[in-house]
Amino acid sequence: MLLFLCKRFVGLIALLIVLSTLVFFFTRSLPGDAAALYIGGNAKPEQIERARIELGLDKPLVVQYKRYMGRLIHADMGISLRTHRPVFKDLMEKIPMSFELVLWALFIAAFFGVSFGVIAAYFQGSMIDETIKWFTSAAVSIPIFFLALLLQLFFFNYLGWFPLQGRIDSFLEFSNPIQNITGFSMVDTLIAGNFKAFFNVSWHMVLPVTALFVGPMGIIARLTRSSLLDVMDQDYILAARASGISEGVLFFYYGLRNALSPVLTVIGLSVALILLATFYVEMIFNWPGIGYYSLAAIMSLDYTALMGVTLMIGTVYVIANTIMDILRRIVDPRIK
Amino acid sequence: MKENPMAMQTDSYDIMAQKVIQEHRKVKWFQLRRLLKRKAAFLSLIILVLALVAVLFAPWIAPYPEQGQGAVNLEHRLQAPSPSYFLGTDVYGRDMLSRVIWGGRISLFGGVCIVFFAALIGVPLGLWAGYNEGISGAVISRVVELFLSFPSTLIAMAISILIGAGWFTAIIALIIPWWPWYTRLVQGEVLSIKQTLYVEAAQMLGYGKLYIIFRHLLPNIMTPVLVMILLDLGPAIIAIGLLSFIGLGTQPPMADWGLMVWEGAPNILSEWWISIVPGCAMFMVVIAFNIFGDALKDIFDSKG
Repeated sequence: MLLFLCKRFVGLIALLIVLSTLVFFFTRSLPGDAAALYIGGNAKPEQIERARIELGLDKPLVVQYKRYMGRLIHADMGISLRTHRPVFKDLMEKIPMSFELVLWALFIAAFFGVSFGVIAAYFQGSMIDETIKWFTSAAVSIPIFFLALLLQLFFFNYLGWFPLQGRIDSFLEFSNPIQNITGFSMVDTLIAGNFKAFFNVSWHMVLPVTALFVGPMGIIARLTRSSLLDVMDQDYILAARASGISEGVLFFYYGLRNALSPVLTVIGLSVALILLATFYVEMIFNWPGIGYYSLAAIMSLDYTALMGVTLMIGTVYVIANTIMDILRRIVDPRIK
Repeated sequence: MKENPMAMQTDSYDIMAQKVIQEHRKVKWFQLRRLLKRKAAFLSLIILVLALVAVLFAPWIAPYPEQGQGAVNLEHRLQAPSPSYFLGTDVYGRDMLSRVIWGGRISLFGGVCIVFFAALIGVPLGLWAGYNEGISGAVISRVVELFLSFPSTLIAMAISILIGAGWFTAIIALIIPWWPWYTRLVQGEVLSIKQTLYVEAAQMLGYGKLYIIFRHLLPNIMTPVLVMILLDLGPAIIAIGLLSFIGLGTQPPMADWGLMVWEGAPNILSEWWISIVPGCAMFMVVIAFNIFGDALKDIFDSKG
């Protein structure tokens, strides 16, 4: 296990180095002059030249690359061309807001996905199975932006149950402001005992989280069902059944445990899926997180911010997969 | 005349072979009939055929073909669905029905293109990498792993920023992270087929690598590849929509379904049909592809 962890750790570092190198050369080959973008429109040539020296863009590519990697070790990703603030600081500010949505969505998707998958497999071929099949097919087929708009239209416009967008009602923002402690608005309001804001913030999160969890939930449910049915066909289940173990124990202990390993992999993959989905959900629900920031960076070709965002998503993806690999080895000791 | 016994022999072999082939065909037809007996699969097929017909014959089916291609019609802006504008009109007064049909051309064509070229690149590489354990196979495996260790949509977004926005570049940007999935699938299949007796026999007989790959390996991996192609069409259509929605794909006045949803998003609370109509079209086609693909997979998996 220790050897495996070491190996994974080395692999992780190697992958991150490859990723940051790729990102560096990718952003340097983007169209457009970064110095001109940094200064803004109507700049004199000498101003652009000064900005170029300030950003270090006048040096050869190799020198730039060395400097970039050296800074990256100190968590310095450069200055955003759009907000003119350090990218790392921007990211650190936005990440908690998005991760609040992402973690909720991941948790709900994993919990309900696995539950629905197990129920469908247990009642294989019945009406319940058919209903879940239709439901999950719809869940994986609906485009995320369409789902988000539908939710707004239905639950805000027609029913009026949930707020349209934003993190908190604007009048509460003045009377009961959120103190910035951890950056997670639900945790912050709870710690500060600001219950009015807590309920308001939770209320605002319902629709975005729903838009985020539906797709991954469908994927996880479908995979859980098929994986479980595969396992229940195995000879060792037949042998266990022949030795008189009750059907329930057989299904939930012997079956589920063996079926979980591919499911864990997909749960790891859905972290990235949900993170990318925040681009759309945060734009539609006007949520000031990492997705909103990334989208603004894409639209304005803010290459330092793009670099930071790509690195961050890549890192999260790789780390999530590593965690899931470790969990898989705990759940399923056959994996070597 | 004296009969040639050898000729008779081959004759009877021929008849036997014919019978086997007929039997085989019967099974295939039987499988197809079973597919159509499933209500959901049948319904999906109808939706797909309808969409295909509408898209192929767009100039004759769309009520206002020139508006479908982007011509503005400002005196009829933002009209609710009515007999003359069956699905309403958008911000520029264009008939939504015509727009959705023309948008479907880009979405469907793009989806088919992505999956087709991804398979075209990925399958041969997978065959080669699975059959050869030398350096070339290892290189292909590493490249595939590198691609699969980052989210595909993110790679596609990055590439389409790099090479510029547009429907054609969006398709290319999506093919690049898409093919490794086929390579991995095929490579896995080949690794198990390689152990079988008939491949070993072919190796013993001294057939060349390429002959074995195309004669023995390719036919045996076609079923999983075809199922994957069918199941990938839906996600491919969504993927183009995702790029177009954030301005990296199709550019106005052309529009695919994703861009049309984006165009309607600011007016969603009042003129809901501008977003909902293309969104529904996308949803229905994608779910039809998924259900049809699932049914096909079930039937191929259960083997008779």
